[in-house]
Amino acid sequence: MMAETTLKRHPIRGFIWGLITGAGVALLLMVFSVIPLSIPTLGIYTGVSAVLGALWGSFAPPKKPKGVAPTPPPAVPGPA
Amino acid sequence: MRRVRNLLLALGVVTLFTVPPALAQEEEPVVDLMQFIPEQFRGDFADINGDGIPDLGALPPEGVAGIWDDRVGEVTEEGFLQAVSGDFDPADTGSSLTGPCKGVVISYDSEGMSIDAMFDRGGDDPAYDVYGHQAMTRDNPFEVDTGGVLVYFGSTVPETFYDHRWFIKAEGVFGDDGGDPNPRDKNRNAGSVDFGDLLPFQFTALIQAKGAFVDGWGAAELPEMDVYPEPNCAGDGWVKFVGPNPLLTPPGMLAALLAAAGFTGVLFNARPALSWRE
Repeated sequence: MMAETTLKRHPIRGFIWGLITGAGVALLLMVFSVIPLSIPTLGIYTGVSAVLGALWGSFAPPKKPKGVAPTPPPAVPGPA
Repeated sequence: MRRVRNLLLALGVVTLFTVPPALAQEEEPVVDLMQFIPEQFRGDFADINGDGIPDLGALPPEGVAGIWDDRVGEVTEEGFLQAVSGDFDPADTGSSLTGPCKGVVISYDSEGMSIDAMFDRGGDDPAYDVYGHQAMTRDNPFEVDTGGVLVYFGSTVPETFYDHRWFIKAEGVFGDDGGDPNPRDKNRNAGSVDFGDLLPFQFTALIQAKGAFVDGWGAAELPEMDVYPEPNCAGDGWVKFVGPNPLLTPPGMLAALLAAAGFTGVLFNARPALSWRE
């Protein structure tokens, strides 16, 4: 019998890391003068990135399980 | 064969980065900025770097503040946010400056070498750079070195503003206002702004700015309006703060750190994971 796996999603982590990524990318684009410095623009980049992060944390291809699959316990013989 | 190809590629890259600036430097100025500089200051200027803009020798004196000028600055978060918020339209990539105000602004780096200059002759025309292109547009922003100096001369001739108020703001970044009863009938001013002294650190950014200067407004603060009482000067445009490599400035370092940390977290800490069921 194959060992079973469970899937754990991380939408909150994705949201938070996406928020940080969005703020960083927006600020980088601003200091390189690619986009104008403005608070609403920073908010839009951060918000969109946070949502994308939450989606990534929910629906991205999952990481493979660590370690080797646990061996199922030997079948206990039933009563005769 | 591969060496020749690589050599050609390297030559192409070098040409790409060196030829356009060299061509840009060949542009001839269409305006002699000395005509805008008051006679008593002309001895302090000479075109050292050959860009047609007078470079700076000794720093001229600072402009005189009006009695209603905000000399302390906005010290609370609410006050700051109120000062820098407004009806900005980033889709508007042009610039404007209307009214009798005229003058010249020259921007210098920390070594006193000119990096940009613009002038306005008053009326409804926008400001222009010394090469005859419209200044302060998104494609041709006015460049300001955050470690450098701005030198300006401005006037409202033939008008003289009394009980005037003014404001200038850049979205989310900067706001200032002031005014003066003008009992001494002044209608011109010259001075300098030393960003190297004013700013705690250097940074680079492209910002949209706007401002207005209204005659007869009185001591009350001047709000942002669609139409100001006549006579007035009102304008908006784009300013590019330049300085060292953006990644070597505190905002650039913070941005790089946030982006790297966030991206690492998204990749390695937020991805869904499978685990073996016990």
